[in-house]
Amino acid sequence: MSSSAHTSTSAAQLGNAAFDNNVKMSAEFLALTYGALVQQMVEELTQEDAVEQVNQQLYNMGHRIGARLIEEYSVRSGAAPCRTFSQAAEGVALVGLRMFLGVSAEVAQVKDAADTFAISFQDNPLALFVELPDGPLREYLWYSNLLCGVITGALSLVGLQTEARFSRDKLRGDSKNEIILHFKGRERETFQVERN
Amino acid sequence: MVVHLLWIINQSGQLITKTAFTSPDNIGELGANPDMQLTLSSVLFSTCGMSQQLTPNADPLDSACMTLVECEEHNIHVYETPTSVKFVLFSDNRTMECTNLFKELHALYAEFATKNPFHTVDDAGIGQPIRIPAFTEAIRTTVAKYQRM
Repeated sequence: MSSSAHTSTSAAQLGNAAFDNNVKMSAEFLALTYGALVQQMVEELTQEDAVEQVNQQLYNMGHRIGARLIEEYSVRSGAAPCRTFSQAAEGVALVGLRMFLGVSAEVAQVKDAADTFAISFQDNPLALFVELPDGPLREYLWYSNLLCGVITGALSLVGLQTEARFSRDKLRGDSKNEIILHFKGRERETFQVERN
Repeated sequence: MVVHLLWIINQSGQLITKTAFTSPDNIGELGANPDMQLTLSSVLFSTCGMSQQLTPNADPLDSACMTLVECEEHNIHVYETPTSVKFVLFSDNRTMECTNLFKELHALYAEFATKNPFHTVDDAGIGQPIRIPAFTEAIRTTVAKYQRM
């Protein structure tokens, strides 16, 4: 417990330092830009209830962002390469989200699943000013699904195959935002030597 | 420190950057026959993988690949990023480490290459040479700070 607390504390300190050292810009501009993006995707739906397409588009776009953002993370965060799934989840929640979005997130291992973690946070800078209208959007849209794509895209570039999905969203009336991060395995592209 | 040549090799072993800093005469066959750099960088990529696999350490994933190859006239320095991109520097034979230079070059790579939406990040096994003049200029400026004849 004490070693775990120590690790969490140092990861959180890294996150705060990385956030402090990062270039700042208007949170409102980011939120409005993201809002315009989502709104345009929704408008372009040929069927009003095919909201899952927007979720998928946001995810795909996020994946491409994450594949690039990981380089910035590795250069500037000061975090050591992760050796375990638990460390990687902590890096995402306490360093990455803090560094790039200023989010104070918590991470907890899902009960009875060593490879699944819940990342929860209260404030979501992508969703400032947003009220989802009643109907298919409120029911099916994961407004900040881009974040799930960012996480899986970033982790894939360091050899970790993952799935990330929202399980709770304050925009839908939940008490907090929560992303479930499931590690599927490790995949390093290195020269393979058969061992007998 | 005298730096003769920089390679950046992507996750799939493709040479995506080669920048020379001194006369081609200083690097023998690699200078006389630049096409050989494509072949030799692939050999180096495979050798790095083998050095990791053949390590006596218990778990290859916990081992870095080789970081320094010492030759008669040159040293070859290798730096692998967490995203498996390899930076390779050919230096004089008295330079034993250049970690600070590697870290600066890695920061330039993050800033000029990966953040450019039209530079292809290798997440599907396909890479492209980096042809960004500002990046090349930034590399030259950074290496110049360390060059000492």
